[in-house]
Amino acid sequence: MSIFFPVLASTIFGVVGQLVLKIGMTRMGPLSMRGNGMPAAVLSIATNIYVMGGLLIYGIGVFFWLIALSRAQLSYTYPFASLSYVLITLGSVFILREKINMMRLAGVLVICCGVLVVAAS
Amino acid sequence: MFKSNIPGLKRNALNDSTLDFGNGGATLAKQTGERAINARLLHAAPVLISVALNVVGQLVLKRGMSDLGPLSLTEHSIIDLFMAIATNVFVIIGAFIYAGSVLFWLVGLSRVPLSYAYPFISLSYVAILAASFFILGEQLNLLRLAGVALICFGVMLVAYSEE
Repeated sequence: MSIFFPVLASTIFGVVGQLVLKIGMTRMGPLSMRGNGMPAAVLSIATNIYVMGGLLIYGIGVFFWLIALSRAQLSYTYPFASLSYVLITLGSVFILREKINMMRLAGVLVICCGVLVVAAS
Repeated sequence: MFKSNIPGLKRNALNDSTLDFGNGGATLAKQTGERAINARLLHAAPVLISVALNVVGQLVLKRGMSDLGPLSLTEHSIIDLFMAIATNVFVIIGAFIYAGSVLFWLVGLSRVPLSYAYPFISLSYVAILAASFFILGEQLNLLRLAGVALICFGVMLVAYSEE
């Protein structure tokens, strides 16, 4: 089994988890962390299906990350985490239909180049 | 380092009443200057703590996973893998440190604009590289250094592409 499988799986699950968490937290609206707002905030987070689902997906991502860590050097695996910016940008463009400017596109391409260079090391 | 060409940050830093230290002896100009610098450092602090905790957390996780040896999804059952990981003390401690890093990141985001916090992520790539070399004793080559430099540059571009 290639080292790329757990690393890429970790990135994909991590990004999907973040998107689902974001949907859940956006639907919930701004929460108060002060004083007696805290128990209510914890309760509404713990009973939100999106948040719980997002955490589960994110947890699966962490699991794959740990598998990768057991098999490769940290200085090799860590730079792959930056692929999440690339996936988020792709998701923003193709799923959320957001417009991105040239500078962000250039940044994402430079990150991709950097990851390819690390992968070759 | 703290170029205040970020409108959101400047506004936050100068208008935040909790940062008024009220040291009456200084001249107004000096006081304002000092306060602005203190404010910027205070605002960057949670983000910097988050980056530091992230690096420490990754090192501890790596230590735990190295102890477990190379794991394979095809050779071991998922339940065996899960039990081995969940009962490793380094992994548990590393996970808590990592959670602390996320907490400080969220606190940081509540105080500064994302476009200001974002470039600090680049620091973690450099710090991980240094820690891998000096603490874990990993061999680094020129390609890996060049790749990380490119990634940092790319993160900066993404950060400053914020309108």
